Amino acid sequence: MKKSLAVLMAAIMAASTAACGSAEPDTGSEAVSSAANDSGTESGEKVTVTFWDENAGDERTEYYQQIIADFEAENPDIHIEYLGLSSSDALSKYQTAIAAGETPDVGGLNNSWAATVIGQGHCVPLDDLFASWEGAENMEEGYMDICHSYNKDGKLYMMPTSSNFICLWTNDAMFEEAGLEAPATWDEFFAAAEALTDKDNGQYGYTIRGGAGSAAVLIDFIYSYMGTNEVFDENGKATINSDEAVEFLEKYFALYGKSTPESDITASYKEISANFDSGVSAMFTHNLGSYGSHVTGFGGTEGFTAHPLPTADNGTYVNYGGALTGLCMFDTCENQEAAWKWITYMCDHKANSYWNESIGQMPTNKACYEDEWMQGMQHIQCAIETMEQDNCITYTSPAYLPEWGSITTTYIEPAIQSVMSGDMTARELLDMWADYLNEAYANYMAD
Amino acid sequence: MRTKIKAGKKDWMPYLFLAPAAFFILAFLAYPLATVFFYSLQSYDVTKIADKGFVGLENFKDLFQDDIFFRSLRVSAKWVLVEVISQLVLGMILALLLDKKFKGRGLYRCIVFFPWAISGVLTSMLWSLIYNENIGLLNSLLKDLGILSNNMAWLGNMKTVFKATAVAEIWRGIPFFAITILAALQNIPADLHEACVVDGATGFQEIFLVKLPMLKDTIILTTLLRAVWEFNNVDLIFTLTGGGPSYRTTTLTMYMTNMSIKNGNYGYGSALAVIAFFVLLLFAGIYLKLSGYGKEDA
Amino acid sequence: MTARKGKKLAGKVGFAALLLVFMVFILLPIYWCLVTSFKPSAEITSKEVTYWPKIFTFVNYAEAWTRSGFSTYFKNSLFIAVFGVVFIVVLSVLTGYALDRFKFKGKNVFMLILLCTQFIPGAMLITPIFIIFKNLNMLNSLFALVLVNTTFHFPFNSILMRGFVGGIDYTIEEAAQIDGCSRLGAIRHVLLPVLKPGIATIAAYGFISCWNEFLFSFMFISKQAKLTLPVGLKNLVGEFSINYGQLAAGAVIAVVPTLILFSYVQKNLVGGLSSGAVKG
Repeated sequence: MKKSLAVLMAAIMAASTAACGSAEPDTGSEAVSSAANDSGTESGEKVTVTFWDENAGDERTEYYQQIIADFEAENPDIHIEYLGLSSSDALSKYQTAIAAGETPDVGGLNNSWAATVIGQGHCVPLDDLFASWEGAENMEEGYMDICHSYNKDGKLYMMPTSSNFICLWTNDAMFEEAGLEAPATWDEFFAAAEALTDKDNGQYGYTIRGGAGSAAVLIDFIYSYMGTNEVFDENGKATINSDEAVEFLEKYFALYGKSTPESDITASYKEISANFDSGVSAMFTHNLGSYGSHVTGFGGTEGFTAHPLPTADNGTYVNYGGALTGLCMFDTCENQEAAWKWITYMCDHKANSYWNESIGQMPTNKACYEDEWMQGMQHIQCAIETMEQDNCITYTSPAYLPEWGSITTTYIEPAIQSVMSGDMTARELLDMWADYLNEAYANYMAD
Repeated sequence: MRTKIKAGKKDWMPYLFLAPAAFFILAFLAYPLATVFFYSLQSYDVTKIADKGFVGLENFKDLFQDDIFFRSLRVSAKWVLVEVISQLVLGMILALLLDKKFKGRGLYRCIVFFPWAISGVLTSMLWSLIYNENIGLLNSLLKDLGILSNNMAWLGNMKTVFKATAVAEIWRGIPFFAITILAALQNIPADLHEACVVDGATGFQEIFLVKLPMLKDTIILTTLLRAVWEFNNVDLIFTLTGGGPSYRTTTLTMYMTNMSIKNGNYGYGSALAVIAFFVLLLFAGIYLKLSGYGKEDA
Repeated sequence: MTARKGKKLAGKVGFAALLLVFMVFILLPIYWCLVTSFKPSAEITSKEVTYWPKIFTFVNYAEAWTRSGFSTYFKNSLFIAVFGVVFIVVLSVLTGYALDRFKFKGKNVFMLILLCTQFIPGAMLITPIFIIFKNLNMLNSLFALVLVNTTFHFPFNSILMRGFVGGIDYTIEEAAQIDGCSRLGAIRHVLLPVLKPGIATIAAYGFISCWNEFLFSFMFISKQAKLTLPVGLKNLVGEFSINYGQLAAGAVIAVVPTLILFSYVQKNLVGGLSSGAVKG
């Protein structure tokens, strides 16, 4: 007994010294890229650019590593040091890093909290670099405009690398069986959700995101129903508590429990996507990003289809334009030239095309639009066609307000659950939401 | 009582022994703890960085008008109470079972370790898979056994959400009590058991009149530590319910960490932490006093 | 006579039934974790719940180990856990010994301080601790994690160790000192051998805490090659894709060292705890 324990401990020690041997020598010195940068100008020395991916996953990390390998082959003097962050904790990591002054050189940002990070004043304005970049003209102007809105000074802090599009994913077999077409209007949507529900067989028409992230998607649907992109009126007051919005919420939440699973009240992405992929729900609203998970769930690219959100009664299609992910540069970056090279590499045709083809999202570089893969993917085609329609207007979510994150997580998301459970009315929720938005907007406009 | 070394010419000895511990606390905890107290008196919100500065007790004033604070404090109290009591009772029963001599006892004891050894990241994902309304193990099992006819939304139902979350955490907490109490039980001299048999005591009498009193200090200590741990631990609730629906499972620690780490309001978050600190201090003091920890039994 | 026999039988059946209920409760989620780790992704999120994999696959293990970089994470976690255990044990023995064997001024205050260190959740202390290690030029260092884990876990273990030391009669040390041993010599040659079970217990408790620690590893390490297992596991839970299969496989891999350690110290652990826990 004693002997075997000793052997085990020895084995553990041996393994750990191996880990130690490879891990210890570079401790500290490489923590910041500065060490590498000091000698970066000398010939043959590599410059290191640290880079954080805000939504790591087994596959995404592999795609990034491929792009990084290509980039390093083309730029032998630059080394990209990749770090994958799990999406649910990425914002916390950025907040801590900013507070401690240990940000990476380049960071991936997600539209739902990009403004929170940028608003703290530690991102480098990229306007001058962008103006002198030869690839600038190929970037989609609409996306660039949105990036400018992320901070109230109107400067550019994030370069978009990928755009998303909100889709209504449908289960083909269930629609066929019910003899239904994909809903084109919201009324059709509500009717379809009811018609596709067959509780005895464990089938529901729809699935509502009631848990984390519920507010961010709900506001998009509200404006899609209202058919307007005016979130604040000319007096700076939020329009979210309009009668139409109340009407929408009442209809929308009437689906809960009747045409959706009951657990939706605390369901976040992982639950609602599982509902769709496992054939529990016939319809599911998310964005292009869940494509890969549907391919896994349906065992191939067949059996599910992407559609745009329904069109408003006034005939307008409201496209959520803010669903961007992109890269920013932090002020701790000492070799901005190299960092900018990496950022623009991700925006340039080749990498932008490969990246978005791999993750199944919309490129931000217009040169990619001619690429073959874009024609081949149904959900991408759906996004392009919809955005080309004459009745399409673009709406920007108030996610750019600095307080947005704390308002939604602290007050709105729990209130949405109260409405779903019947403890609060739709009007009460929207009035409350409007009050918070008004205050946040006034702060935003004040200085 | 055992002999203790009396303070004498070598009275620097104990301090020498405690020096490393004091070093670790001073080096890595004193300053961080002090900052929490410091920030609780500051306005420090990354979304309103212009207002940064000393505000006195302003954060605490806001706190007493904050409904969510009181709600989350209540949820925390309920959570700690339910968790510690259930884990203690179940852990103790399990320990009493495993204290008996029977074949394969060693294997059973090893099994009991399992829930504790598994990484928290997986524990929470595993239970969210088990509880899932449509693809979960629990509903499928209960339906196949004929107990349920329709799927239950364990985490989406106001009536079951707290209980379901609590059961998952109980699962994780049983090993701690089971093992600690089991060990304490084994230390009870065997002749005591024989004496009970001679006196004609029943098994239950032996447990309640002889064994439990001997476990008193173990129980007081482990429940206290566990209570603090359950108060501060949020990973499981966060994955299972995100604090919902409508704050039903939002504990004070969860509210506090969301406020500061996610939303960047370090000032208010720190004020919540300071209140939590004093709540726990008060609780520990009263608990140790009332339970008579360390006093010899009659 | 028969009534007594019947009573005994009923007791046995009741005992077995109760034990069975506990084992089912404890093992069901474990079983589910194992089964999930052998299922392909589509089967895991299928409406038809299968109690045994319809398609039995090792793909999750292969991918977790190679593609997700678990072999590296495994080594890093092992480093942190092994050194963390060493630090925690040394500190706990010293502190526990002092708190039990000596009478001195400030003893109760020190006990209270040990308790107070547990009152504020680690999450609230991240930024200042981060700044400390930044000033020490120890960011991205696995050793920094050893220090942090030690700081957070030794107080609890010291209180336990105090009980273990208390369970051992002081007279054996005294006897050794009379025989000419110094105090430290007496501790080393007489007390430590007897204290082995207690040390095994602390080591096991410390190992689990360090091995599964997520928050500080996530916050302090910004180099892919130095990530730890729990951080690697969490990275499988992406916003657009959750790989339950690999997560389960990764967790099964992660639990192996802990179980090996346990099966070795199990006897010591249980025997050891007994001497400590009674005195508290």
